[in-house]
Amino acid sequence: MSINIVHKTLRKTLLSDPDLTNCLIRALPLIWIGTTPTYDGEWLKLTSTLGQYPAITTGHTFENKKSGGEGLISSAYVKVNIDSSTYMFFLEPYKGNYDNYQGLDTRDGAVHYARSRNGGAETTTELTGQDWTAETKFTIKHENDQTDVYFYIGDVEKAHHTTNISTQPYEICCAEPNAVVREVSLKYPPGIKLR
Amino acid sequence: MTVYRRIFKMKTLGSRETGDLRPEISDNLPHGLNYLVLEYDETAQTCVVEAWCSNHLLLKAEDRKNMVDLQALDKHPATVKTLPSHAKSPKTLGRFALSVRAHSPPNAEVDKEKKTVKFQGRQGPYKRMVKQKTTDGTDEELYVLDEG
Repeated sequence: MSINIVHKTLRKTLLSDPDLTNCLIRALPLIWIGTTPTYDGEWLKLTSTLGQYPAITTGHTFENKKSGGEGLISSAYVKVNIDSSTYMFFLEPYKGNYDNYQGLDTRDGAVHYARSRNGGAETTTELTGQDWTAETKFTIKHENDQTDVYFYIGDVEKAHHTTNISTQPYEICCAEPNAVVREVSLKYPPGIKLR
Repeated sequence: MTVYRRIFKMKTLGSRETGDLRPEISDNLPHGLNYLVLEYDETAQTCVVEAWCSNHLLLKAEDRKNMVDLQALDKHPATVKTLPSHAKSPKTLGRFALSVRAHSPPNAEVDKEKKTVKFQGRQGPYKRMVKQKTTDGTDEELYVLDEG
């Protein structure tokens, strides 16, 4: 018996229903200049270039339009070789729209933050007890009505914001060094999971 | 303009196994409050949460909260008790800020003499300004409105 997979139909189905469990979205490397990605069968590794702002993204946006749907949930397993100056996992209406960012990152040196932005107004909560050189599962849950965003690290909620939350749809992005040289790793596949 | 903070020992919901362990307050956190989970206990039945809020004038009216709003959680069914301090509490927990950059039209008006910012019809003071880059490498001035 042979199985004929209609890839176009399958992809359309997967992308149109964010409520599907184990929906595997192929992450698309974006603007990685001067580096050669490597893949060891588990981790996709990329090295950034000084002065650049590359990120691994879905390349398209997601929005939960399901009738009765409450929110958008996305996850990724990411790590970085030096735990500073990196946007580890985040949502933006399009990559680079920092005014409406919801994410987890290190800035101000090696301070870890949960960060929410809406039209440029920002709420940050400083996170404690973090080491993102180790494999870390990041999950962001965003309510459709913009009331809450939940930041999970591992399998536990670490931070929760109710202020300065922007609106879907979002592109899902990860492993963006902030103009510094970093080796970032994304567990691939799966890269980014929606459910 | 003040960032208010309060530490609670709270009951939890969910589990690590199902990937949704969280403070019980998570499912109905009052608007205007934010929090950091300082730790979960070994049994995952309780956790320590440090909640925070601000009354800064640049926040929307419905987002401005004060210490009384945090104290209202003392009697919440999810709260086991309040704690005076915790070893894992960060020096600076929360911050409100505003990004101003070359938008057309500008997203905010800054008066550097009076150290005030006007945004979406609301006006208030800022503490300091930090120049930095955004996720696409463009310049922005980040005006720190409140932190603590």
